[in-house]
Amino acid sequence: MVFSGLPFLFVFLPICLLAYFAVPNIKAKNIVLLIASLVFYAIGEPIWVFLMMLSALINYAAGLIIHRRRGTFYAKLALIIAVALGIALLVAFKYLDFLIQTVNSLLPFARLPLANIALPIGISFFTFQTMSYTIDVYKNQVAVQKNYFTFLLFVSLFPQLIAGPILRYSDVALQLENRTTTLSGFCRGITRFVVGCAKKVLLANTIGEIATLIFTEKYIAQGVSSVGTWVGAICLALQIYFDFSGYSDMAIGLGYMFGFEYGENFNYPYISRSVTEFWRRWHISLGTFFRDYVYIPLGGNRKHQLVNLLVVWSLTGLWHGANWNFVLWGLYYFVFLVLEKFILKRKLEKIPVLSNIITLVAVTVGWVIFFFEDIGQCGAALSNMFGFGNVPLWSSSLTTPVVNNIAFILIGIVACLPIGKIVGQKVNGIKDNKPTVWFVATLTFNVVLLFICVAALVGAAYNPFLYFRF
Amino acid sequence: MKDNKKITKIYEIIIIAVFVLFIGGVGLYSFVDVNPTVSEKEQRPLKQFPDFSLGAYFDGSFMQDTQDAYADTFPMRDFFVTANSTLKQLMTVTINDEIFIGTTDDGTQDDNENSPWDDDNTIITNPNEGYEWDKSGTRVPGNSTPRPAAGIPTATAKPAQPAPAPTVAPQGSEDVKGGVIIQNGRGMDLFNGSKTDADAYVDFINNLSSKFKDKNVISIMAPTSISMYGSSKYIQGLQDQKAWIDYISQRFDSAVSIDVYSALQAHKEEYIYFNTDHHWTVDGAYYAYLAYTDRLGIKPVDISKLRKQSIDNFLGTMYTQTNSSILKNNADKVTYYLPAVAAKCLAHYDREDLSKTKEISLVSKPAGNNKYEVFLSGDNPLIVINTSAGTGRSAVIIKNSYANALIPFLAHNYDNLYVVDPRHVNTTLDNGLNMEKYLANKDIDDIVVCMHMNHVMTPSVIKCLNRLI
Repeated sequence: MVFSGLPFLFVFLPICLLAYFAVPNIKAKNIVLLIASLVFYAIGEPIWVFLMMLSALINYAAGLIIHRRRGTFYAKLALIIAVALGIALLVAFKYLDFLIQTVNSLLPFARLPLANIALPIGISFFTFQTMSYTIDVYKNQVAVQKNYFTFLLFVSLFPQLIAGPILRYSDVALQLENRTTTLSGFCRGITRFVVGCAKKVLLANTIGEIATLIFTEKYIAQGVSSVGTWVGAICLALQIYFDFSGYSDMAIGLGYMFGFEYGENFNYPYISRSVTEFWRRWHISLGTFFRDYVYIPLGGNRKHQLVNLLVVWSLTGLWHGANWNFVLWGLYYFVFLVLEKFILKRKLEKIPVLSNIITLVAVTVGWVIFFFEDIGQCGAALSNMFGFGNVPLWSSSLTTPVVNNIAFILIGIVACLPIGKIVGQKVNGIKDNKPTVWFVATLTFNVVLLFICVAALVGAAYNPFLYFRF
Repeated sequence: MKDNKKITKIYEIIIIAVFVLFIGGVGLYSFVDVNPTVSEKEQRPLKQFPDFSLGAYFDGSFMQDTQDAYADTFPMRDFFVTANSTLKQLMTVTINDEIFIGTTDDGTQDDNENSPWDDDNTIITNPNEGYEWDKSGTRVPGNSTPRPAAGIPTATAKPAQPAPAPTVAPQGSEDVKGGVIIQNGRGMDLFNGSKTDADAYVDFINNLSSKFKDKNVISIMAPTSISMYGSSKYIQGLQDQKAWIDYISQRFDSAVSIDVYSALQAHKEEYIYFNTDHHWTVDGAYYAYLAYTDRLGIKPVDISKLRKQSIDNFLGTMYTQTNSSILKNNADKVTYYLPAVAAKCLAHYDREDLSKTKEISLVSKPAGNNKYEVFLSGDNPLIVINTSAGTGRSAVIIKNSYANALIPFLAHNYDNLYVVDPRHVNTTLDNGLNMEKYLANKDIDDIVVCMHMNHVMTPSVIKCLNRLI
């Protein structure tokens, strides 16, 4: 089930809210939220919901053992087993066929059959959440959770379950057992949810149609014009950003409604002046996860930093999908980051506009690598972009679709700038002094945007879910 | 300040109440509202809620279908669809009034959404069971009138140097392969050809010629409306239907190609294509018919002698694929002519059991929303037509829906017509509709293949064609 869908908005969410606020205390509210989350997941994954519960159980048990046998060999063993099982689950469900295919292509005599396991939605998110908990307990950074169901609630909380942000147990541990929804919090949640929904439904889906139109296999096979490929890549960059950050906004907004405070996951990444900065602003919860649980344990910048970076960025790439193009995409960023860290230092960042443009070009090219699973097609698209392909500069048949949608593309580009944030802060700033203005502005904004979103959801056929690979 | 706090609180409650009442109220209403099964506006059947089964639940299809059906039968659906298309149109910037709307398929849409495209997965329980389609419509030997001397066409003349395959236009116009262009109130499917697909069609026709040496193999490649009305960038290079028709025609070994392109082009100012549908109108089909009878040297029926009738307010496939309000305001009129011959048409309508038949008419007012079904009641796997034409000629017509508007005219020139729609024939049957077997005891003069260019260039359609021979 996806947030930006009619069944969620008009059936699941109202029932869930009603039940949640109808029951008296936090214990009952947690039970409601847990049941709702399990139902939410089971609707999409009727079988793998048990896998998620098992994954939570393993880490819950590991946490207990680590806590009771702290300092002993058993604590270490529990940690190793839990982390190993977490990785094993990921490998089995996400990377098995990728590994088999790689083995088959490397060894000419190998004919291993594919396992064809369908990837459980959100497995990468909940596996990382459970793993981080066990490691944190081992490092004595969080208190152990003694109630399995509370822990399961942390793992399965439906707002962030299928598309992030990746929660840290330490961030929500207190909220799990003690939180209140305030009126202003709920209001904030509504606006945030509506903003996320509009990003996804109005911008990402519309602009995504152009990206898909240009970047379809058969179009690439016959050669897309070079400027056309750039337009496609820019549309792709906009689609991915609005889709993903829209989901995060919806998750954060839903969190507010239930009294949770999630951290931000995106912070206007396209205004970055370096690739390093981009990754501090893009999918923040993933970046910090890899920093805290891979990069720093490996030695961080104290020893063999280059190797550490290489490992982290290969894994970051691989996390996004089980295919070589994702690894390539991660390594692509590794190159830029190393370049910035050791050679450019901070020189380029000091030049505005130029540094922005260079970063945007690097990121946009990155999305092309991200998009094409077939390395050959990716190479064709890239050579078309940089004028090496034997293709014309522009194709007249693209004029109409691009011109038709130019308003959406321009709105999308403007929405990448932190204008919405500034306006939002201004509106919230007058809440105390001019409550009526605030009220009219907020209500109008919510109602109009929600209405347009619902019309688009009913009227449009194109509403893809991009994270089934994560 | 304290008052403001109080007011703020009230305002917050109102904002929350509006949101919750909206999602809860509409949600509740969506269960009270009796769900329609057909969208009048979109002219298509809506998805229905699935029956529960444990298997469907655990493979995920039950919940997916339930969610799809919920979205499809959402209350006030038509209102929201219109609102969405109106808002989108407000945001749409156009040059030359031209709008592009991408579609999920590539112009190979069918009249019937549920029609099968690929037979590979069909399970046939009893492949050897014979079907009794010969019971009806087979000509009784000895009953035939002598074949007229006219009507034996010669193959399309071959130039010394056949036309080369069209290539990518110098301006490069091939980035967009599928979708609908709306311009001047008309919805048009984009067309894109490829040498591979063209050669596949040539091979099919030449195979047909070599398998049926004593019969005339005739190919009608109907151009689509974009080739007549589209701006120049959509009819150049690989999108040039005329160039492809020439390329293909000149590679036929002995088959005859009817030049309907020129016939239609000469009358493009008339109402020969629908605005909101991908088909030609009956007048377009008639000009194709005239080109056909002229080429074969047979006498066409005079359209002015036929009784004309029409149905208003037709919104066809171009509309249903785009929901465009421009097209909605430019609905079509479906005209048809009552044939001057008596005809008994037996439709073998069930692809799984071709022995099942029902009687249909050459033209009849359609029950559903697809008013193009006025012709032959839409597509069927096989239709056997016996007419009172008394010409002594018989033909097999291998076709898609484009031919439906043509066949009521052809009925004036043939005593027997065997109309096969390869897309709807279940060819996994051992004796499916193998043309050699099927025609073995029939006295056939002409084998006509009639489709529009988008299907001529669609590999899945060619696959269906090849399964017939």
